[in-house]
Amino acid sequence: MQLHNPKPLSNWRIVLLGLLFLAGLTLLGARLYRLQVVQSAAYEQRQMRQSVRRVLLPSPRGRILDGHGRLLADNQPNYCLALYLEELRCSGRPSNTVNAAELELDRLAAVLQLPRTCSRDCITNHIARMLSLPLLAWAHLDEPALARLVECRTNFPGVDVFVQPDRIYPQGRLAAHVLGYVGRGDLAEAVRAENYQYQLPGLKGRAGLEKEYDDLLCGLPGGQLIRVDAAGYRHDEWTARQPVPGHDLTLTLDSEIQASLENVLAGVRGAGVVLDPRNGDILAMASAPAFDPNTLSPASSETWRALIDDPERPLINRAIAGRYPPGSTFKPFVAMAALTLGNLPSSTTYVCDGTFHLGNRPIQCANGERHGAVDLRKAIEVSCNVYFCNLARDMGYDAIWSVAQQAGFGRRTGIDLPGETTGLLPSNEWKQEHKNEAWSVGDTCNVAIGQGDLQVSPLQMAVATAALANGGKVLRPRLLRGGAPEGDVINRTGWPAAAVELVRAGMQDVVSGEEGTGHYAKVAGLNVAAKTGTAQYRVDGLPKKYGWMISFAPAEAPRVVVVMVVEEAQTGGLTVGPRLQRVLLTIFANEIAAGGKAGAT
Amino acid sequence: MNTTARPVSGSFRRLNWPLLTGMCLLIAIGTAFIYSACSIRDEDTLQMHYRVHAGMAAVGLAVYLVLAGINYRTLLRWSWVFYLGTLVLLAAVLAIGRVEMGARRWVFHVQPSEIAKLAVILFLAWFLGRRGAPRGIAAYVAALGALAVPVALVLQQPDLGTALVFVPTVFAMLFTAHVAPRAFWMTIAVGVVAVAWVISAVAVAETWDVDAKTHEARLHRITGLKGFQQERVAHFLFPEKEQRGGSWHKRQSEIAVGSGGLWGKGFCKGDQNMLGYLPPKESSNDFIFSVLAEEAGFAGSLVVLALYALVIFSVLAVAVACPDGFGKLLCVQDQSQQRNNTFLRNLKSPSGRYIR
Repeated sequence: MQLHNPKPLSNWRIVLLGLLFLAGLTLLGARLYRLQVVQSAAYEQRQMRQSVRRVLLPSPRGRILDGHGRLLADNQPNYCLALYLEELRCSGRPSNTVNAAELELDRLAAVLQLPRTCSRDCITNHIARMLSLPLLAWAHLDEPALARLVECRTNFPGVDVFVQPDRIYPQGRLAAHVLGYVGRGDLAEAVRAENYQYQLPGLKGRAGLEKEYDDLLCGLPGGQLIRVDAAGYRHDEWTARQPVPGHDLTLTLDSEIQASLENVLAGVRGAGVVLDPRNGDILAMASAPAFDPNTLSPASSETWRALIDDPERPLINRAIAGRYPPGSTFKPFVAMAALTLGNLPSSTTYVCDGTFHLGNRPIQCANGERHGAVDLRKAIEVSCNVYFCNLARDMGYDAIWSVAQQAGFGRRTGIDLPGETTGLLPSNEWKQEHKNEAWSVGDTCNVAIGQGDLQVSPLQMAVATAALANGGKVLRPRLLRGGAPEGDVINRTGWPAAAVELVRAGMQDVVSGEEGTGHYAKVAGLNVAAKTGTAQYRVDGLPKKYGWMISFAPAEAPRVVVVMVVEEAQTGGLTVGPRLQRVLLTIFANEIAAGGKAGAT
Repeated sequence: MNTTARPVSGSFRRLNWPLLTGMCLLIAIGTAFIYSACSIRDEDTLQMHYRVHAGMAAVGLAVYLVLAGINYRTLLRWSWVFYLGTLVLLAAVLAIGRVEMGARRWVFHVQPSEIAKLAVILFLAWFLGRRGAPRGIAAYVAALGALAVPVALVLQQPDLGTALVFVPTVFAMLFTAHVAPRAFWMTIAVGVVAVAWVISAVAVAETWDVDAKTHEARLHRITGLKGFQQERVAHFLFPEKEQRGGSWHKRQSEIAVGSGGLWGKGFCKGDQNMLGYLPPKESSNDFIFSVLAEEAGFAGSLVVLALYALVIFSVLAVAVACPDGFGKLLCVQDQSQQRNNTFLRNLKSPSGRYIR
């Protein structure tokens, strides 16, 4: 039998072994094919996932300019010193690297002659969470520090200076409420969705236009890819997408008018709006007291606390968020209601004996005056409460409500700013719902003289006044220049020209008439139409007054509407009149000067 | 068998050129990728590691050429002395050896377990291949005994990996020498059953719903495997399943090999290698195939496999042509060892599992 052959070392066994090896090698090759050819893409992705970090690069924020191109918000380079930890990396325990970084920071502090800002904890934290990014050691380096660093730059191979844009507002507090402010951006949801692991600090609009137009201003962030080694240190980097700078915003604001408006409001609480009644462009908008957006962008927690706790509430933009009873400034709209929907003739006359009797609640004219027989035009000029109460009672509340509604009261104006109030235009339904009482004639009379539950913002008042000035167009107020020249018309009221003319005549008499309540606003060489208002309110039981004025000029062809309210005022005419005059003088300075010369020669 | 063949006493004219070419190319490729693997190390001495490797390879080639000129029968006659000397060295390792990474493997700057592989080959080739060598059950037991002593000593170090290399080598040789076929196949059968038992035990254990400690203890009672050995078997069976730690390096080398793709990422451009995801301390030896597969791709891996095949088959060809039992067994054993080295050391263990 072959198996018991004394010379058993036959070759077939060797060949068999050879075939076994061949089979093994073939299997090996097949497995390699599966890994390296079939599944290669999946492994490549796993490789990328574990070694590539995506970093979001903020783009330069767009600037904000006024209508004349003056900078209102800008970016300022902030020189930061960063430590590249991979250059300082020490073998062994991670704490060796922390020690090296500390040593480097101490050496740098000596050279820069600055105190160290980055503690040991801060280094450890950075290594644990953002190892592949440079460690920010100092920000806001000034020129001398930069010069000292440059002198001995070669001693610090792991150090780099990079520029981070800071938001500054070159005009300080000017138009602070309109511009708003920015904060350091958080890791936004969008960033998470795009799988970015890190983002360099970016700026995000927190209030005002900075917030409203954040998408436009912030541009498109860029993306950077960093390849890290197994320990997490940066190996190399490449920019996958260049950041696209944000758009500049050019505003309808006029810095000079804005400054003038803010000057007259300095030291009081109040607000003012200047807009162009032809198109709704806002030329100035102020709220007092104001804040300095430079201290808020970004804010330290103390600054922030102080502003939030301030009883004067400087962060509120009173021009759009303030809710005030309009007082007598509402009367021109009541007059308009009588002339249009109220079906009362323009010649309607009532006799004023100083008091309007309604049940046991008399409504009196200011200062106990008795105006005698007055018509509509005169009633506007002297702001006769008795006349408007009679008028309101006779036409009924529906006409007043409808015209007020047409003029934009009780709803947002649609301005491109966040935080606008709707105000409150009360109605029977509203009263039933909120006070569980039926609407009464007394309510009608109260609203007719701008009291009661009626609440308006200065901006709403400005838009409504603009409708009187432009013949009945209710416009959406706007802050960005370059809108449609005829304005964004929200509503064409269809007020008859004769009615508008009559109300305007009454408002001109307010300033230039003999008994006009607004003569403090008189400007020589300029026809101003205006209406004063004084609304009562109570603070801790003490009676206080809001002083109002609404105005437009020149009365024959209005180019500006100026509206102002001051809290804790004496009366609208006394407190606001002179302030309104100063603003008008600024706006029409050139015309008045030219007109004066023309008159002289 | 042709007993009247020419004597094969060495002559440079009769050098095995395919074998020599294959070995030289493998050495060159190995040196190149050790250079790549070492280039990321900080220390200069480690960066120079590829030179040490090249130097050792040159010495090895010189020894090869010298031995090729000597009649191997002369060598074999003294193989038992070599064998006994190796046993002494292995014992010396246990007594005075240097401890490195938890195991005692080094003495006098050498790892005697590596020498022992050669010694066992030579000794058994002499024992089983000489004229009139016994083929009975006694020879079978004696051969297993000659295998068992060095394996037991190596296991004491402990170095399971090296110890395992001995076993298939010797069995390939016993198969070729046709010693005690019944006992041989019975041993193989027992071995297969034992492996099947362990594998099925580990596989069944995966379905247990017990905590890790109980799992390990119970499996140890059934199979006798220690925790990390259990894990290796489990990872072999279920590579997709995340193991309880320890598989990081395996995963990384799999990623290295897989991401290499068809053509590789280029010499010294492998991300896994250059970024240190392969364990930097071992990438120049245990993980060298991962480095090659990543940087040279499937194409490069195939070239290496083909070169191994060239070396294996040129040696087997010598065995077929060899006139006497010594030569045949020497070649077969040497070959089995090659293969096992190739498979166990360079490819399988560190590079994930290539053969299912």
